[in-house]
Amino acid sequence: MRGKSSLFLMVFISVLLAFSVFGCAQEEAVNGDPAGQEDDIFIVARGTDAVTLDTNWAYYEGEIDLMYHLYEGLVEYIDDDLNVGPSLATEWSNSEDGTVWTFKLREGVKFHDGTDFNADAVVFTYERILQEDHPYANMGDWSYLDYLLGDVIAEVKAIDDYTVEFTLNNVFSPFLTYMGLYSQFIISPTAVQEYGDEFYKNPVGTGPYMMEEWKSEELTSMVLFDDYWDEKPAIEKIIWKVVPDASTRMMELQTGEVHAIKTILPEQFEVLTADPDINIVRMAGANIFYGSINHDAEPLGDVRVRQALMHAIDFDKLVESVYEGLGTRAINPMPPTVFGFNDDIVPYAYDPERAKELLAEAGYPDGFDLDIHTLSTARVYIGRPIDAAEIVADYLRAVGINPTVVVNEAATHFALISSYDYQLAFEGWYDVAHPNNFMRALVLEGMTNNYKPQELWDLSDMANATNDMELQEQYYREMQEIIHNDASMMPVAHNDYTAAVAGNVVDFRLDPIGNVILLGTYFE
Amino acid sequence: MDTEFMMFIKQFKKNRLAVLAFFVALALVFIALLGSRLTAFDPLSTNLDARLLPGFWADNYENMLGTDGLGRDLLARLLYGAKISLKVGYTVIIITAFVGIILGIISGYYGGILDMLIMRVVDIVLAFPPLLLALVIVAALGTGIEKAMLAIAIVYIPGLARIVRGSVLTVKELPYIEATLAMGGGHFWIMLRHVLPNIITPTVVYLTLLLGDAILYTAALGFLGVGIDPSIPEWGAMLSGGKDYLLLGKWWVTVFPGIMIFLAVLSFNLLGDGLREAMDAKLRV
Repeated sequence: MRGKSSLFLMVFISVLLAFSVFGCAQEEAVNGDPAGQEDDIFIVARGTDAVTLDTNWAYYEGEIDLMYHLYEGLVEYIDDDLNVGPSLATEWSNSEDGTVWTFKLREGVKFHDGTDFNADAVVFTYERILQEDHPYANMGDWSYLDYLLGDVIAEVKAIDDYTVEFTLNNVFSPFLTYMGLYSQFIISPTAVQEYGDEFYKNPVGTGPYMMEEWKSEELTSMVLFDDYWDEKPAIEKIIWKVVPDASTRMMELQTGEVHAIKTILPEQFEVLTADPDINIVRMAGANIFYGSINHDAEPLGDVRVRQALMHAIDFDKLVESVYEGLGTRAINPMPPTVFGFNDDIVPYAYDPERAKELLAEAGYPDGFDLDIHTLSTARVYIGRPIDAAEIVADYLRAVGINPTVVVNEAATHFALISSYDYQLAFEGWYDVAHPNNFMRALVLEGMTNNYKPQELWDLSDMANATNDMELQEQYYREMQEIIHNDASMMPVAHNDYTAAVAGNVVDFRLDPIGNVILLGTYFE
Repeated sequence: MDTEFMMFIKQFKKNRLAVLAFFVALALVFIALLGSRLTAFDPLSTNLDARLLPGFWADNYENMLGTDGLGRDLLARLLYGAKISLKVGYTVIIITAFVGIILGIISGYYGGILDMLIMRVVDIVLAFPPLLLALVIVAALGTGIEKAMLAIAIVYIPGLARIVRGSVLTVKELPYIEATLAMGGGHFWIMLRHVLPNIITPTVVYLTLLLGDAILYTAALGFLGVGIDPSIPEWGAMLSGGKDYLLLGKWWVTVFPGIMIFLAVLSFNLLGDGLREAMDAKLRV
C-alpha cells in the first residue's frame, strides 16, 4: 500500500506543480506586466543573488554585475580586450623602473552619501583590504583584491588631495588592467565608518546608481544617483530579480515580466532565437571548461596515456553537441580572445587508432579503469556537465578504456579535486581576460593536478615582471606549447556568456567576464 | 499442500487487476532476461549525429522510440534498464529479507533488553523520511549502484523487522511452541522450523510491495543524480536526463522511461496487494 500511495502522491504533486507554474504565468498576464508600466525601470532576471555588496570583498557570480553599477575604479575598460581609459583617475604615469604608478584623480566627484572623492578615499579603500591591522579589516571572507594585488602592492600613498601613488614590490604587468576590475573599485570611507560590519548591505560608491533596496534571494533595486559626475545612464531604476530556475526565467521574459534574462541554456537557444520579440546577446567568454588530469593517479602520469586520451575524443563534435553552438572548442588553457593566445598550436586530432597505439606503447593495450568525475549542475562555463562526461566516456570506451562516470554535487566535486582524490575530473575557470589569470592563476595556482614544472613558474614570473608586451606574449605562447606537448590537461570548451532581452531593449551589454552592463542601455 | 495452493490460485484469480499486474510483471521479467537480445543497439554507445531523433510516430523505424540527447537508442536503453531496475529490486529484497527477518525473529523471540535495543534503533531509522535517509546513506557511502541498493535496503529493513517481530510475538505464545520446548527443542530449531514458516505470509507481501518501492527509489536516486553512473540506462536517471528537453517538445526522452517506471511500480504493487488478499483468504479458511 505504501508504494501505491507514494506513487499516487508523486503524480499528484507533479500535476499540482504543473498547474501552479502555469497558473502563475496566467495570473501575471491578467494583471498586466509591471515591466511595461514604467519605461525607465529595467528588470533583469538572474539565477543567483549577491552575498555581499561590498565591492572589495565580492567574488560570487551574482555580485559582480551589481558592482559595475554601484562603484567605479580609477580606470575603466573601454573595450572587450580590456584596454583601459580614464574613470575616477583622469591620467596616470608609470615610473622609469616600472614599479611606481601615479594617478591624477578627478575633482568634483561625490560618493552616494555626499562624501567627496579624493586621494584619502583611494588610500582607505586599499589599506582596508591590504593591511591586516586596519580598523576595518576582514569585513568579508575572501577578497579578490587581496588575491590579485596583495603581494604586488607595497604601498598606497596620497601625494596631495588628488594624486595617489602606488608603489609595487616588482614590475607587475597586469597591474593597470586589474585596476579596472570591480574588486579594485573605490568605496566611501565615511560609509564604512558609519555602517561598519553592515557595510556589505549598505554599499556606497561613486557609481551612476545607488542602492535602494536589497531583499536577499529575491531582488536588488538601485536608482540613478543625482549627483553623478558624468553623463547619467538612460534607465532610472534597475531591479535585479533572482529567478533560480532557467525555464522560469525564460518564461518570465516571454510573458514580459522581465526585460532581460542573464544566462540561457543551450537547449533554450533555438526557441529564443525563433521568438521575434526577443533578442539574444552573446559574448565570447573568458572562461574554460576542461578535464583536470591527476598526474599522480595511475596511469595518467605517462604522457603517452594522456595524449591517447586527447586523440581518442572528437572534441569538435563534443562541443557542438553539448554547447549547441554557444561555445568554442578549447585548444589551450586560455580562451583565444585573450592576449597572448598561441594560435600556432594544432590540437590533437581525433584519431582512435593513434590513441590505441599510444596506449599499447605505454603498456595498456587493453585499456585501464578510469573514473571520470563531473559536476551535477550547470556552471558558467558548462551548461550540461553530465552530458559532456558521458560523451567523453563513450569515446574512451571505444579505444578500450573502461570508464565510469561519477556525478558529484559541486561542493563534493571541488573537495575531491582539491584533495587529489581523482583521475580525471571536469571543472572550469572563469576570470579576467588577462593571460596571467589563466596561465598562472589557473594552471599553476588553481589546478590541483600534480603538474607544476619549474619552467612554467619561471616563464610566468618573467611575463609578470616585464611591461614589454612582445616579451609577455612570447612567454605566454611558450607556456601554452609546453602544456600542449605534455597534454597536461584536457581543454574542452569556452562557453559564450549569454543573455536574452526584450525586442525594444537597445545596447544591453555583456562584458568578457559575463557581467551584465546596463550603463548604456535604453528602450526603443 | 496441493489443495491449499489451488485455493490460493483461485482466490488470486478473483482479483482481475492483480492478474493483469502479474502478467505485466512477468513481461518485465522476460524483458529483463532477454533485453539485450531484443535490440541491435548498444545502450551505451552515443551517436552525436543522431541526437534527439523522434521515433516511429515520425516514421523513424530504426530507432522505434527515438534517441536521447546523446543519440543513444531509447528502446535499447529501456530494455537494458529493465534488467537494472529488476536487479536493483531483487537485490534490495534479498538484503532486506535476510537482515530484516533475522533482526525481527531475534527481537520477537528473545524479547527483553535485546528486543528493546533493536526496536529503538528501528524506531530511530523509521523516523526519517525514506528518500532523505537513502540520500544521506548514499552521501556517506559514496556513489555507485551497489551503494544505492544498500541504501534502499537499509531504509526498508526496520519496517520488515518490525512486521516480523509482531508475527513472532503472536506465534511464540502458541501452545505448540511450548510443547516443542518441553520436548527439548533448541531455540534455533524452534526459530527455524516453527517460527519462520509462520511469518512467511506477511513477509512475502511486504517484500513484493517493496519491489515496486525499490524500483521507485532507485529511480528517484537516479533522478537526483546521486549514486548512479549516468551512462547506465537506469530509468530514473533517464527520466532526469530528459527533463530539460521536455519544454522543447522532445517529450519522448522523458515520457518512455516514465511509463516504464509507472508500469513496473504499479504492477508489482498490485501484485503484492493481490498476493496479500489471496493469502489472507487462505489463512481464514
